[in-house]
Parts: sequence; C-alpha cells; structure tokens
Amino acid sequence: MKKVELLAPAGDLEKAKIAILYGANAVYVGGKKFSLRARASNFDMDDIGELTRFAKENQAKVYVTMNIVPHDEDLDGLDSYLRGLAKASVDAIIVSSPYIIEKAKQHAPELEIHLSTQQSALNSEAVRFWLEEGVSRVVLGREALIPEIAQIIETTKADVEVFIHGGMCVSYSGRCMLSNHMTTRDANRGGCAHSCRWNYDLYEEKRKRNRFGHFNIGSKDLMAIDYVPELISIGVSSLKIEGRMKSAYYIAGVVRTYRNLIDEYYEKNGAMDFSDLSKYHDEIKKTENRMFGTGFLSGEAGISSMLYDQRAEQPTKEFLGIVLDYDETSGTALIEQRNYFETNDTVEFFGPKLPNTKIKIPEMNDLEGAVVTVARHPKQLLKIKTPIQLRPYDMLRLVERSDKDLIL
Amino acid sequence: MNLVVDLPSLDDIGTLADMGIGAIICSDSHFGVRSEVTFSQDELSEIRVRTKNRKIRMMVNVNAIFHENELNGLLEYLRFLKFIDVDAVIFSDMAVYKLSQKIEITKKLVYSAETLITNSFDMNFWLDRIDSVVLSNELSLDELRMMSSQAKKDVIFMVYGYHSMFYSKRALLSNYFEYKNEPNEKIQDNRNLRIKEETRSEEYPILEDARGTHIFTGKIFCLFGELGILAETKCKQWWIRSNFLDKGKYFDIIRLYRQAIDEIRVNNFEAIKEHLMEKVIKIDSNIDTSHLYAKSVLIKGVDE
Repeated sequence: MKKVELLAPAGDLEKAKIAILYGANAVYVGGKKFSLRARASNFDMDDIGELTRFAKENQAKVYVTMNIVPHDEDLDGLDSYLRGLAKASVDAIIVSSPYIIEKAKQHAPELEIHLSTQQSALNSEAVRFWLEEGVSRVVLGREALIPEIAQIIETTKADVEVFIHGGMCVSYSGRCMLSNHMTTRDANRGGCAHSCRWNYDLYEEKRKRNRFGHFNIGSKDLMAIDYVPELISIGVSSLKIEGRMKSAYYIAGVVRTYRNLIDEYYEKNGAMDFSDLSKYHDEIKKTENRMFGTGFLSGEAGISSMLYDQRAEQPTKEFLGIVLDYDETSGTALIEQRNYFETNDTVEFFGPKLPNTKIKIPEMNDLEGAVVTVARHPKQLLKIKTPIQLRPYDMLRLVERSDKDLIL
Repeated sequence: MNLVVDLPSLDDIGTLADMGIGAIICSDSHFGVRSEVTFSQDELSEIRVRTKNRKIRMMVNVNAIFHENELNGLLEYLRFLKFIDVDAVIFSDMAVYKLSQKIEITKKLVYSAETLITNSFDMNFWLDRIDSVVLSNELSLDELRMMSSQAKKDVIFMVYGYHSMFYSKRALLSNYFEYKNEPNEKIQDNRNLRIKEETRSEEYPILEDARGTHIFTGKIFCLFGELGILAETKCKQWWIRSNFLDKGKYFDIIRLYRQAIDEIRVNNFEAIKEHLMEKVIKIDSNIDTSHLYAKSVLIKGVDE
C-alpha cells in the first residue's frame, strides 16, 4: 500500500528544512518568478539547489510553484528558468497556465507537472483533460466533496492532491478579481489583498439589509483532522497544507500533528478510533489561534465555514524559541528567542523526534555567561541547562507564565 | 466587426436583427451562469429557428463550473445543443471541452473563464483547439492590442457592461442571514442587491443564485472611446453585456455601438466619437475603463 504524501509549504529555506524534519514527505516553495504569494520570501535558484540536496538526504521531494496566471510580460525567461529547476533536481512544478505546461514538457521533461488548484478542476472530465495535456497530478479545487474526490480517483486513476489545512479562498480559485478591481493588486499574480475579509454592508436599493454591523465574506481556515483517515482510504495521493507565508513554528506544529495522525492510521491499518482524534485537535490549537472550519470536506460549506463578523485570528505568542544546538556533555542548550519568556515560566519542548516535554525555565545565561532572567529580545541567544536531550530545530512554547497565566 | 449581445427575450430577436447584430448569447438556468435572463430548452430551440431565419449566430453559455454528479446531464445538454445546431458553446470548465470531443463539437467552442486568458500564448493554446476565446477583463489596452495582434483567430472582448469579478460556490448572502437568524427572503436571484465596502463609496452588484454567489464591478466597463483602436486588431467580436442594465438603455447602447461600427467602416468614427460618447454617458454615466489604463500589478507586501 503506497503511503499518502504529506505536503507542506515553506516560505524560506529554514521553514522548508523544518517542514521536512518535522515529517513532510514533500515541500512546495515559490521561486523568484512565476509564483503566487508575492511576499513569501521566494527562493532563488541557489536556495532551491540547497533545498533539493537537503530533501534528498531526508527522502523528501521539492515542488516549485509556478502558479500565476501570467501576462505576456511575465513570461520572459521561462525556458531557462524551467531548465534551471530541472538542473537543480526539483521533482515537480505546480502550474496553472497551459502555456507553461507546454514549455515544461519541451524544455524540462524530467520535471513532473502538477496542476494548480487555480484551475478549479472539480470533475473527472476536467481531470482527464489535464492528464492528457501531460500533467501527472491534479490539485483539486477546494470545493470538491469527499464522495466526488473518491469518484474522480476511481474514474481517472489520477494522482490527486487535496488541501487539508490552512487558508482557503471563498471563491473558486482563480475566479476572484476583487483585489484587482478594488486595489489594482493582481490576485492571480501574487498580489491578493484579501478583499473578501474586508467589512461590507448589503444594500437593496437605498435600504441596508444587514442590521447588525458590517460583515465580511471570508472563509474560515480549513482544518481536516477528522477527514484525513477517509481521504487516505479513498486513495488521495497527497495531503496538502497551505501557508507559504506562515511561521516556522506553525509549519513545525501543523506538519508534526498531521504526520503523527497519518502514521497512526497506517500503524493501525486504518482501524483507528475516528471518534477520538482530540489529541490531534489539541496539538493543532497550539500552532495558531485561528478559526477553523471543515470547508467542503463535511458537505456543502455552510455558515460554520464562514467568518462573517468574527475575526480570523488573534495574535499568539506561545512560540518562544528554537534550539540551535545542544551540548550533551554539559547538558546545555543554545536557544534563539522568538517571543518573550522568563525564568520559571513553564514551557514545553517538542521536536521531530521529541515528544512534548514540559519543564520550568531554569537559570538562563547569555553568550558571555551573564545571568538573564527575562528573554525579551527577538533572536536573542540564550543558554539553558536541561536534562532533556535536545536537537537543532526542536522548539519550545509557553505552557504557563511564572505568574500563572495559563496558556495551554 | 460584429456585435455580440445578450438576448433579453425571444421577441427581441427581430429587433436585434434589424440593428445588425452578429450574434446573441443566451443561457438555460442550470448549465449557464451570470446570465440576466434564462430560457427553457423549448425556448432555446425556438431561438435557434428564429436566429437562423435572421442570420444571427446563436451562442449558448455553458459556463458554470461543474461537479462530478452533473457530468451525465451536461453531456445530454451538449447533445441537445448539437441537435438544435447552435453556432457556439461558451464554456469555462474543461469538462465541457472533453464531453464536446465525444460528440464532435469542439470546433464550436468558445473558452471564457473571464479571468484566465491574460496572455497571447494561453490564448493561442485554445485557438489551436477551438473556435474562439473571450479575453480576460483585466487587460491593459497595450496588452489587448498585443494579444489581438498575436491571435490566430478572431477573439471576443467585452466592450460594455459590468465585469464579473467573483464566483463562489457558496451561498454567501443566504448563509449570512441564517447565521444572524434574520429572515432571508428575497435574497436568491435578487438582482437589486449591492455590497459596499465600509471605506469606499462604490457599490458592487452581488447576485446569489442556485450555483453560488457572483460579484460584479461597481462601474460599467466602457470601451467606446477605444473602438477605433480595437477595430484595427483581430479582436473583432465585441460583446455588450446586459447584467443589471435596464432593457431600454441596453438597446440604446447597442444602437450607439452599431453606429460606431458603421462610422468606423467609412472612416468617420474619430470625427464624431466625442459626440457619440456624450450620448453613451447620457445613457449611464457610471462608466470607466477598468484596467485599460490602470494596469493591475504584481505587488510585493501583501498582508497575510
């Protein structure tokens, strides 16, 4: 039985490595050109080369997004860029333009071509069309219901990728130009201003129809923990996490949670207790304080999947730091600070191979050996002694402040 | 140059023929979306008879995005359209292309995803396979001219009307009223609804139908002043869109565009353009040129 792929996003090299170390079978990244998510710290060709080497050492794959809906001016240098990706041993590109597909077949036949969700492929005939055009995988539109996904796989035998976590367009992907017309930022070329999340009123002639304040038309984020077992059982090839602009902490936590869930599914040959996936829900809640829905995986997306007058997220400060090094002889960890913490705060270390482990922050020292009681500076380097066997890329998050402000 | 217009009613075919219209677009209520008026299959058959009699091309919107359980019905519908011998089928879902291959009508297809034909290469990808494409609404005038010059066949561009700028499967308005426990009567298929962003003055027409929610631009896109330029390109099919327009005004606009074509043919358009433009503005002053001179851009620094 071929194991389902867990596919994670990465906005930079560090996040990509973290995604792989925390259990992603593949990562997708944006290059400097042809990619949506304009601000997602896009990779240059050297970064991509380093990432593919790291990925291969860790039996993972690298996909590069080329999913803009291009204008003529965007297509300069396409052929050489494709050849560069092939030379850098990229496994696949994610594409929405038929022209880029044609050019990839011509100039970089060693690259697999994955159809982007921007094309909103939602039925077996559309999937067949793209397969015949040379695409090897189709990322289905987020509007597909699970029985429809099953039918598409059964009918076409296609390699199908499905979103399981993260932000989702409220429109059919690729069919929203709100940002273009309201701000001139091109949504299909990486400039989406998320106009769907702005505040609106509804009028009929002169009469305001909404009586209780403004509302937005944005979607809650997708969270598919309850549906992962079913998606695996119907033969989905790849489960995709959204969020190339998210933090390393988010990537680590979300990837690790779905990794553990998928592994448990296979360890138990699918005979899991689906009614109790609460431990995975609890873990996801630690990664980001956003409102989640199940999109179209639980049926037609209704009011429970919409934000309307609710805020999508509250700022969180649970992520405290990342381990850069650990000296086994002295039991000393070198930690890079990411959010404020103090001596005696209760924290939880976790990592790719480290189960959640709680400690109270002991005495901390800076690199000169001076005692530090408050880690208040971003990227501040601190040494702490701990008996826990830590490794680079392990992380720590807040459980309880020393003044008993309960977080988890 | 040919005008392509939305058909308001069966009885308007004669009037439109007298106005020298080249093609009409019509739609049923299930397989087509965003049409102001829809027709039954019997009516579509009758439209075919009447348009043939008056030598007008009949184009049918089959432009929804389709889900798996709709494919059998879609194939049957395409067979029906082939049987009544429509001239063109406008589509945005590749399922329509694949099913059209089965019944050998791909040469009648026109691709119109509204947002996705933004470069000459993707345009010609489709023109190698089908009859025509509708260019995206968000092009600059330079891009429009350049793409038209590269086109392997005639292409279609919207020259007047409200742009569609959003297509969601979700019933966004009905769900909102349900969420607030408010009565939601007269929401679906109500063409008088507008949404307004809190910091902007513009109101955007919003339409919820059985297939989801559609939002349109706040202003009417009007390319009247540029028709002389367009006439020199391969973009010779000019679509005047009827969404949210009063029928009387819609016909007045069609007449003015018809007159423009006649004037272009005798090299007199530029001489009277300003005079005609005044008439266009008098019919409805809520017009702009969208991205023709305000190009959409790749922006660094997006919030998220």
